Amino acid sequence: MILISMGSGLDTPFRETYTIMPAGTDLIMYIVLLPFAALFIYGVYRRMRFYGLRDFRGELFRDAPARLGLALRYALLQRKVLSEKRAGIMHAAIYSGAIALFIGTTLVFVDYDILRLMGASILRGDFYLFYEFSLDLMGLAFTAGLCILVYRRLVAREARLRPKLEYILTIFGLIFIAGSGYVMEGLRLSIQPREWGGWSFVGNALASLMHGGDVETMVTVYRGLWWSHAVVAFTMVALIPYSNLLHIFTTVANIYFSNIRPVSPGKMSTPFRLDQLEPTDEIRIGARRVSELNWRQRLGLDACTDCGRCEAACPAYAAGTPLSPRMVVQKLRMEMWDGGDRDFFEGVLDEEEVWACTTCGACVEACPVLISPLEYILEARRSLTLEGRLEKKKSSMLMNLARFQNPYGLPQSERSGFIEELRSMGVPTISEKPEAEYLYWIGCASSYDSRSREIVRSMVRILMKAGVSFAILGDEESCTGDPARRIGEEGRFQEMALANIDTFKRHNIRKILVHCPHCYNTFKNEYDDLGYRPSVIHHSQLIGQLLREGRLRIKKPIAARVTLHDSCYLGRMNNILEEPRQVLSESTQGLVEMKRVGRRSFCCGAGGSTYWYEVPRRERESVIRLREAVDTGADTLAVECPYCLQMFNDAVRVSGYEERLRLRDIAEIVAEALE
Amino acid sequence: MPDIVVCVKQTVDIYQLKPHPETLEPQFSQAQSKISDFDLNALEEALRIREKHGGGKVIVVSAGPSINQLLIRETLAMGADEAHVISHPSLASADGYVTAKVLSKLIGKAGRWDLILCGEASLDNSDYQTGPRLAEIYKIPHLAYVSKLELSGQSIKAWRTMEDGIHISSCSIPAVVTVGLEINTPRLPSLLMIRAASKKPINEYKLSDLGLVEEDLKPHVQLLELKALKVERLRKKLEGTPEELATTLADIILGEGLVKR
Repeated sequence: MILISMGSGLDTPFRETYTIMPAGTDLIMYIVLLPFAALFIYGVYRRMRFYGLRDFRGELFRDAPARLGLALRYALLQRKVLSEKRAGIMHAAIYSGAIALFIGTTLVFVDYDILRLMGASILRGDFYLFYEFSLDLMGLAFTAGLCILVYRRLVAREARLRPKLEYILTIFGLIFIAGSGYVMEGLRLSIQPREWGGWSFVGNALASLMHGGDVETMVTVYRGLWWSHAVVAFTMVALIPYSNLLHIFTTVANIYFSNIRPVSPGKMSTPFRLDQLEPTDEIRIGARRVSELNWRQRLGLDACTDCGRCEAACPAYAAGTPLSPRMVVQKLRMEMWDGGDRDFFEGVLDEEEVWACTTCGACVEACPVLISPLEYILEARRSLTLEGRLEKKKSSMLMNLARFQNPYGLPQSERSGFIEELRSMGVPTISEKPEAEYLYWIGCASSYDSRSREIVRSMVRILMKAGVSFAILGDEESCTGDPARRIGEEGRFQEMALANIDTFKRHNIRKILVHCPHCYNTFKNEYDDLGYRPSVIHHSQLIGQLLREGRLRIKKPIAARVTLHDSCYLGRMNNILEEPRQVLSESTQGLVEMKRVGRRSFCCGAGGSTYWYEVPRRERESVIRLREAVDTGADTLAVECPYCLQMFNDAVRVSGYEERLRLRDIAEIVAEALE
Repeated sequence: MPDIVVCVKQTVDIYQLKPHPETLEPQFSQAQSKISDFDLNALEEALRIREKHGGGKVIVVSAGPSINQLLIRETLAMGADEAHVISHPSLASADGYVTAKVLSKLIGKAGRWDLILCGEASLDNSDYQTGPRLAEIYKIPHLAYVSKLELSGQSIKAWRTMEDGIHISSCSIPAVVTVGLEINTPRLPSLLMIRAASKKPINEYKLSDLGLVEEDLKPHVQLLELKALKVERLRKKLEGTPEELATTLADIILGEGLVKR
């Protein structure tokens, strides 16, 4: 016997809950829910234990307003998720649909299990109609998102999307919940037709298809669907802490706890201060096990949704090295779930992966939920270097830094001729001109590499023409320490940095001019932690400023169509994107842009010290990037970094583009346009 | 758990050494000193044996005209436990005979040991003498030019790279083994480890501490002259068909006496 209240003559529309289900269903449902809820709570508790619950308690409310702002922008409003069209729309649809349906279900709970007992109701009248309409609408959004999802995985087949059983089951679960929800609504409106049924427009349409069906069969089907809908939904909720669905919470937490200030990904952490250590202090830096990562880094692992955006952006991956930033994070995540006590290099990661990274930060830029795959790679590097586990070329480079204060391993005498040449051009040393406004830091590349010296010659001509007051350090110049730091030798970096800071302070230097983005980044972002914060200016910025102020005038723009390669450490890491473009458009016939520009630029393959050792790759990053430059139809490739210059110099030769593409630093172009 | 002595020499970095443009004499003052490359391989091998066999001491010994403490500290930072060193000006002209004698006295100060590892030669003189001479002093077996080494119980097995191929030999310990560059890649101590190594002992001795007198440092080999080879190109441009070129080239090579008929 089926008891159905055929509520005819109802004036006010209201939500009818459990009316088609047998009496007592609500109680049984809650009993059934219990084990699922327990599984969920246990899972969440276990995850929190993995991250180190105790460690972040004190962090929870620190800087809360700023952190809520971050969460609003990147979690609630999905700013970075939406930066990609198809994936962004897909996620926004599923995300907003799921939230709406969750709110809808919660309202039913409030209405039926709380307010009803108090004799009240919210789901009635106009609000109820609005409720029905918007849930049907958001359900459609949810379904549309799922359709795009299936399309991306089955039809368009995006290479970065990994097929995993877990994901397939999740997708089936979501599709089932959406589908069964609509069918149940259709059945309900067929079994209990209501005047206001039209507000549930999808359910109403389905009901009209079922018109004239056998009521008893429909009720049986409805009840079956009701329970399966509930059980599938419970299962999915219970599985959240055990699956990729966990990202619902972890991404928000990761975004909330990510650094508040817009810290450049070009800034590495400073785990100790060499000048504050006791000589015999024994400290360990870097991480070799997930358990040695800090809680925020562990949380970051679980925030990874395996979306693969970092992999698609990674130059080392494109070059066919074993590195994929996504796989680094995913492998560490799996390892965390397995307990996290294994040495990274005993079956979790490969040393080659870690060394293939150019530290370009493209993965950090690409990640929609503010994970830094780069950070894990650098931690692993530090741990390897701490042990001295380096092959010949890497240890030679470090030895060169220790003995010759430059990564080339050339004695100071090798550059004395060049310093003499600069002096004969009229460039004073800082000792000769202590009042100079700018210290022009030449950098190792341009001190020892003959092609890169051209940048300095051009820059000196520009500075003199504009009457800028500047001086060089001469014999006192060393290396910033960047190559040591990026390879993981923090101690050597700090030793060199502290020596430089000493030199700068001795000469009372406040403004440093550089033409190397790596020097720029190190001075700008990394010396701060060691107690020195100079004002650093890149030559493209200074040239731009001189042009704006009218201190420099372009006589005749050079006859070239130029494209600009944004260097990672200038563009992405330090957001210097406008000045180089302004300078180039003034001093040439016109600037054309490559496919990947600005913060989304593609590394030349020299960053992160990879310039100094061999990385086995299928194709050089520089060659891939060069093709993008050639595709623009430009006849000149402008660079803003001596290492990019050297990389493309080789790439132009091996790819046979010597005739088609001229390679020049911004300063060289400007210097020519002045004359 | 074997205790291993590693002999290291501080040499001038020959890659930095440039001859005087006129006298062709090497300008030692312009080059820095370093631990001879082969000796770092010997030390690395000792450390690997210790890691594999779970213990034992690794002792560094070094003799030279002026031992740089910092370089010794780097060997301790790599993982050696202690160092025994002597500096004496006369050691500047030491040959293999003198070096082996002085090193044996230093080793005597180090206490017990099971194995002595040396680089097969030094970066600067390349005499290949010191290791074998040490074995002679102790009357123990020695295996030279080793590119792979295994220790089990009281014997060692060594793969020796020789001109005609690889010889696999074994002998009992104590023994002296000299190793080549191909045996391993030495680890590079990080700055933090070098600092931390300042806790480890470096024992410095005087000649008298070792029971030696000035006379003992007199080498058997006298160095008469040290000069760089002058390399100069002929700067000749040849033209003609490949056949003609080959003939002319052969005539030049024979004419210069580069190849004997």
